Amino acid sequence: MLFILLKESFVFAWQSLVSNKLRSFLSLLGITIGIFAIILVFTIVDSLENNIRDSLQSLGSNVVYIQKWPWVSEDPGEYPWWKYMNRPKPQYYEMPEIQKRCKSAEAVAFRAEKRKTVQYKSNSVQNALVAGVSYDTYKIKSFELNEGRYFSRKETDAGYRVALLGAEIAQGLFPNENAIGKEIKIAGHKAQVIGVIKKEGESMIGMSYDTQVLIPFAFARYLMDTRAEGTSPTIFVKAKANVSNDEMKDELIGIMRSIRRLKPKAEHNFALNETTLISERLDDLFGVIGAAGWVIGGFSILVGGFGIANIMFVSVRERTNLIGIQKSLGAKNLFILFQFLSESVLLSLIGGFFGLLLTYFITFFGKNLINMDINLSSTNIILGFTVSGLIGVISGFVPAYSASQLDPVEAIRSN
Amino acid sequence: MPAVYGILVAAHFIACVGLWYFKRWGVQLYLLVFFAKTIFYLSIRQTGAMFYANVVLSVVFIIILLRFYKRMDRNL
Repeated sequence: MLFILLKESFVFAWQSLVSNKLRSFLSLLGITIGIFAIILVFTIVDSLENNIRDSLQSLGSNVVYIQKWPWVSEDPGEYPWWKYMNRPKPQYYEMPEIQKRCKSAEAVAFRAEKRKTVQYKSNSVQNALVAGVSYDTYKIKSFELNEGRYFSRKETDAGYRVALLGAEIAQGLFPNENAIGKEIKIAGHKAQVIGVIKKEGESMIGMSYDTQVLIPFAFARYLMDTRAEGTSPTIFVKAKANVSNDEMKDELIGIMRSIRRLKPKAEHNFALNETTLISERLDDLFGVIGAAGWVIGGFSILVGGFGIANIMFVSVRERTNLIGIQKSLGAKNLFILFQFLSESVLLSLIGGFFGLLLTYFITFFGKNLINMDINLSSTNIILGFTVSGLIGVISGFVPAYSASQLDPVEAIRSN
Repeated sequence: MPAVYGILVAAHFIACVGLWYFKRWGVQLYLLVFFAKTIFYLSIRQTGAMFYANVVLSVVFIIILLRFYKRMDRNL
């Protein structure tokens, strides 16, 4: 019974919409723009969030970064940079100490980096990120080699002049030949290529190995002043499988304070950073952007909703005679209500559909333009249809209800 | 969650239309929406001062509505 009622209501609604094409088109335009605005913002925010989270995930959530500067302020409310500025930078000699004393660490590695020019014969790559690393670096952020091999412990400890190239660097230096065994120049210093890292693809936070050259830290000392601010010296500590980051951080605080001989009442002069700090900030940031999306699209939808309500009142006014005849032939109030409600919901859903279609085309073409992976997710499609359907219900209910309450005799008499 | 909240807002609006026309179904729907909204807010742990103020106001409103319930129209 209900199905027949709904089916008949939709048939009536469809006939009404088709008979007034221009009016239907203009009234659904508001909903189309509103849904387009909301879903486009959500799609971009979701894609951006996924990309950044994937990049963070690749860094490892169980890794603690010992650095000079904290990623977020350690004191609530402000970021006292003047205090952090006076801190000493992490030193290479601190790494073996941590390795020796830290029971909860699975791996400890050191890294300092600087942008340098890398050359092979007439080919060169400007501003390549040259990173001096310790042996255990591969345990912190794993990577696969396309060809060649990883450093041996002897090479990293003694500072052999060897290098691992990122995929893009290798492509730039050796477009048509094999890189393994070739001698390149890093800022004028010769080094032998022993391996090429497999292509990782774009990373939102710029930590991809594709544009990096890895060399032993002891060799990097010849190329850069590893104690300078610009080399971002960092000690990476990866926690064992059954140890939480907080547990390991507690242990690291004790070890670092002991290595740096800090007095009991002295403040820490190092920062223990972790990717969860960024993730937490991202939640707040994307929450605000999402809310802005609702506000921007919400106004559009509000205007669209008023448009639909207006058109529905006109529709009821136009068909008052018809409503009277239907009621006198036995149509129930509920049927009249559903008839007009279906019309507004249908109108709104069509508007929502066009809004989603527009979003799909924008993301499809925009993907190539801004070189970012943007996808219209099924969740956003459902959200788009739900919002447009609900706007249809809200804006169409009052006209539909007033139509259902009409007196049949009065309705037939009206012009 | 936004979709569920949207349905609740739409139902609340429809209940208000029913109350405007002095219909019994308006009160019934209003009660239903009140409980559904309360459960919804509790489930997502959005229980700030505004939540309690809304609950108190809604309860007062429901008491007033129930006093007029018998005089309201039974039909749709």
